Amino acid sequence: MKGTVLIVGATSGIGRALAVRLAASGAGLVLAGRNTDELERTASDCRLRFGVPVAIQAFEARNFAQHGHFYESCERAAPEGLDGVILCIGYLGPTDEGPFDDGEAARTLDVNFVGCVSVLERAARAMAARRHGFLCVVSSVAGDRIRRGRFLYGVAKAALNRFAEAQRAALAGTGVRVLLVKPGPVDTRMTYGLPGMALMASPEQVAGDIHRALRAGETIVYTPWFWRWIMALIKMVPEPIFRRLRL
Amino acid sequence: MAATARVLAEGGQGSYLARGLGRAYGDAALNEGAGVVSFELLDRLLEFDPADGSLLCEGGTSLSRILEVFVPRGWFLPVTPGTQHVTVAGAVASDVHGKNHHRDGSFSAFVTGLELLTGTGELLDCSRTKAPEAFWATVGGMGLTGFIRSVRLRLRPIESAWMRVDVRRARDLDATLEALEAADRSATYSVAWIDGTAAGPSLGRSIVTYGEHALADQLPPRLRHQPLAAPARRARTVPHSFPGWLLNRASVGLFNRAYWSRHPERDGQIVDYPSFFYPLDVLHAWHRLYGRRGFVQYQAVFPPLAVREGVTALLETSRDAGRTAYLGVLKHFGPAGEGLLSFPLEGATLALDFPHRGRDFAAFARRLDEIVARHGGRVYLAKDAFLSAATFAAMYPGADRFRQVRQGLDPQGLFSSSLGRRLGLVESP
Repeated sequence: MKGTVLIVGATSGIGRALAVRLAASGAGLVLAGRNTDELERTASDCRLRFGVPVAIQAFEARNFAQHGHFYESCERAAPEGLDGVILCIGYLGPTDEGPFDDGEAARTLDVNFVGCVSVLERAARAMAARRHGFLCVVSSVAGDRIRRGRFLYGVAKAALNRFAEAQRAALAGTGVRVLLVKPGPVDTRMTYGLPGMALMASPEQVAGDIHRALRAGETIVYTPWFWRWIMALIKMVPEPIFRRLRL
Repeated sequence: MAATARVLAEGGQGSYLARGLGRAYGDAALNEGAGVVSFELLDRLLEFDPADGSLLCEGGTSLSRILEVFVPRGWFLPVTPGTQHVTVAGAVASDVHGKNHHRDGSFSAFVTGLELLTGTGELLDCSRTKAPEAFWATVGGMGLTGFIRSVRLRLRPIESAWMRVDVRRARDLDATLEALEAADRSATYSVAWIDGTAAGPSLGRSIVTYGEHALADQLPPRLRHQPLAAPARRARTVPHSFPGWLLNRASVGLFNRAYWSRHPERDGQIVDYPSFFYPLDVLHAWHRLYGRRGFVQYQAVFPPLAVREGVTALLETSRDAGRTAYLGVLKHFGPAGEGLLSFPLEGATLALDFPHRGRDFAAFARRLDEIVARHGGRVYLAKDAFLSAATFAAMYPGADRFRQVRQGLDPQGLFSSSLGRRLGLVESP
């Protein structure tokens, strides 16, 4: 891969696996996240192993006021502007029992949806002006049909999916592509130790699928591939039955 | 690391042990009934200085990763064990050795510093000059002094990814020992592959190989334009269901004999570095060749004057007990290092592979331990599964000092392992 790619959420399992994967293919990187010490370690590793330039930027999903400044800094860190932006940020809170926690609700919606919109809108404009680039949004199968238990997460992902679809339409003809990624459960910090996780993928597998889909110019990718068919089936289940299935 | 220190302090699991790639043969990387922390994500390269080959990397970095990145750039590990699938922290914690100990010492000889997360939550920088006590307790310390977060080591420059190998046949143990002694003066790497099935006058018969890193102009013309490119080797895997009964004394004996008589003496053969240093890595899960019951590796070192008698005693005792070792590997060691629990002593080390057959292997292992102890030698902890606390204490005079230093680094006993408890290095809860 040529050029420079920004990975937002680069300390996440998927983000880190993507950094290694893209650096191995020759891309320069800008890594963004909250823990700049962690980011610097991954950056050093990529520079030493693959000889590509890697810059880091502090990023806080909920600090909306800083997003404009953040994005400009990322663009400046790339010698010829950014060729792509990949969003790997997310927040999976506790399950839905107990009284309504508006802090948790706000956090879930902000990190999984609103913060992403903020970054992606800025990136879309910058890239459309250059008539070149890609946006990649890491969503989840949870947005395809929303389960009980942590349903605001599913709702935020569903909103993110619609947003990606809308952006793709808005960017038609500008030379900017949008890839929406829907992983099933992935073995990372977010899911570590949680009960009931089946068919887990490794972050490396997911990063591989994303890289392939980017190169092939795809628009939606489920990773691993079989989730496309599992969700297709689940989406077909009529509402009264789905409610009773306690999925 | 801050998060890790919190987990340690909250002590939900009683005690913790860092685990790298889990290649220790016994219980060194196990902490039964308590917590284990995997270092698989702490595997990043942090700094490299091409002026002197100095590399800083996280503890979970594998030796294979280092070779993959740096051999093409003209650097090698100055000391490497027989597998590249171990972490640098594990290599320090076992103070591993290679085929060049007589010349270069053990792994720690090239470690210039490490960062240790101690039981008090402190991240301690140690080296020969900074906190040397903690350094020499951690070198060979089997992970019991804390978590090794990063290691600084010096790589050695090479001109090619190839080795120049000389091969000699030795008809018996005396010839083997002479051949190794000759190598001390003239070869960087030397090792004797002993036919464990040979008996009587042929006891200790071996193939002795000597190796040097090939210089660029020693390579055949077809390799000279890319001297640092090692050939891709396709690793094969032994299936889970491999019938272990295929490997028995008769079949192995036949194979060894045929191998020994067919193996010509040769000079100057050019061999790729993985074949020279990691012959067993070619066969993934090679231990499955031994079938479901598996195998046991036994490795000990004897001081110079006891080598002949000690090696003979081990081989003959095994044979008499009906437990012939299929393969033995003999190497010369130079002077001991300063690690309090470091294995190498000046003399020679013998590693034996036994199929895990019959009842009560432990009793057999203890007989071997007695032989080793009687001859003033000791057993390698990275391979041990049977040593008793008393025998261990007799073999490792540094153990008392180690316990003292450890007490200072980990007053609450947050770090422990099954091996540590078995050998009395840490208290049992």
